[in-house]
Amino acid sequence: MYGTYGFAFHYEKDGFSIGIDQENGRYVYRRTLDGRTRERTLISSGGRVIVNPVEPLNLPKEVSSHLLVEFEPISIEPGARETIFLTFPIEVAVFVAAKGNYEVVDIFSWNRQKYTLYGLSDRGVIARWWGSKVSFSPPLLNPLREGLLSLAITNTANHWVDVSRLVLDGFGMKIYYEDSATMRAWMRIASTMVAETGCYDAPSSEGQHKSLELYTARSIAGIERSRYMMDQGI
Amino acid sequence: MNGLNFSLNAPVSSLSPITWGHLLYISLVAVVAVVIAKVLTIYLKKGLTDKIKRSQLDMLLKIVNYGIGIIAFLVILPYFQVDLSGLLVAGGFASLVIGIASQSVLGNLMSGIFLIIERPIAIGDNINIGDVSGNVADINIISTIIKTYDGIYVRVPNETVFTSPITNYVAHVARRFEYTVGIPYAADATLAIGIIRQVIQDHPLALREPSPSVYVDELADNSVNIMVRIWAPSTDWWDVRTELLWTIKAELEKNGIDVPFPQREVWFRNELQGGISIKQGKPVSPPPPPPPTEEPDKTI
Repeated sequence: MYGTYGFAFHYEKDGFSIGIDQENGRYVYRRTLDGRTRERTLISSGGRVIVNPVEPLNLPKEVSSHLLVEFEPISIEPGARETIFLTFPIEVAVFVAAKGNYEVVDIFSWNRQKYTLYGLSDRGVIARWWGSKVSFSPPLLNPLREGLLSLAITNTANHWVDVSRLVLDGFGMKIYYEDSATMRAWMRIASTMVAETGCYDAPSSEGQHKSLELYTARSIAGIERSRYMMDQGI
Repeated sequence: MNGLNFSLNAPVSSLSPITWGHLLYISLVAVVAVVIAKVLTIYLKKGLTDKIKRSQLDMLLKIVNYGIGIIAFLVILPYFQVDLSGLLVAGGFASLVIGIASQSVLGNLMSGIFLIIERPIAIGDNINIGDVSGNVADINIISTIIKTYDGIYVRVPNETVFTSPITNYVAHVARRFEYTVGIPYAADATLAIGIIRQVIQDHPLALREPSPSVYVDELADNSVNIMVRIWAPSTDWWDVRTELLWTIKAELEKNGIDVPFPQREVWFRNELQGGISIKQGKPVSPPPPPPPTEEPDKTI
């Protein structure tokens, strides 16, 4: 489903359909998921359609720019570095591109959304919540619902630390895709309560394409931080 | 050309040293300042509207506009040949008089400055000051503009804002709200709590943490009252509150748990004349009289 297509584009599978029809000289974008259809008229002389996974922070509306992935606690010894495999929720965006510019026409997901508070209500942040299993090798995933999140954890503290949460800033997320989506993140643990997180701008395997990012397009260069300081518990 | 030079160097009036040339220059500076301010405002609005908060953008635009105004003022000030030291001495008494007369204006000005420094409220916040509730539309140096929930414009002097208790409903990222849901005594409270918990869990913006609490709070006159406490993002709590309340009612009814009406059981000492109808409208024979009692008609 992911990729770049011309305006004569249709995809249908298991009750889901997406495509653009030409009606009365105009293009109409239609997407049907779970029996609900979204329609949008495009006034364009033609262009390209780009379908790719984006930062999972847009549905049901933009409430937060943070993703919190919760997993079973793991204990890490001082100085250790380990890569674990988690999952992240998939949200798919449909862009239309023409004349050197692009516009989002739709964002959809097979997942239900749930939000949570990271930290205290006066100092914390609202974050999209996602529960994940921990694996030590890439697990089998449902690519429509989950992407592969590899997390390189480094414990720079001089004592054992338990980790069960990862918070990523949407402005720093770098998603790559082929048939499924992947993201590579890192976490540097400073103490039992504090860690810094971020994403590598690199694919997990050769042949992957980089997703068009919604948050990077909205960011002001040099102002938004792509890293996040988890200072209210890990 | 000479005629033009002569006219530009000629004083505007015999009382003032300002020449027509100065006046032209001053006007030019003022026009350029206004144009620069307008262009920068448009440029910043275009570039930053979808990138920073509305309140931050408004504050930035104000700083830019005031900054350009101050620079333009400093540029044209020498042409008025203002002697600041002389002005201070000469205007000492006048300043005192003006100061006393404009006490409240200065109070508002200082309060405005303190409000900008302390920042208990920001543009767009959902607040309550005294008996005024609404969204902060603007924070000026002298006053704060509030748009009430009915869309009414209210101007509150900054001194009032500064000295009044302020409730800012969105200062924290999340807030809690609660309902009391009554269910009949005959209903299974555990089942009702499970249904309510599921409804909350299915709502994306009913926060997972801090976790919601749902518990039997009171055995009331007409119902078993279940307390439901939910956290939601401050920006969306009202929508979440209204959506969840109706969904909870609908789900409880779908599972055979009706929200009870106030009920009163009445015992009559004497047999009632005539038939008594039940809900379905079928006449039934009157119930047997209650056991004799010394008390008059008893109501439970």
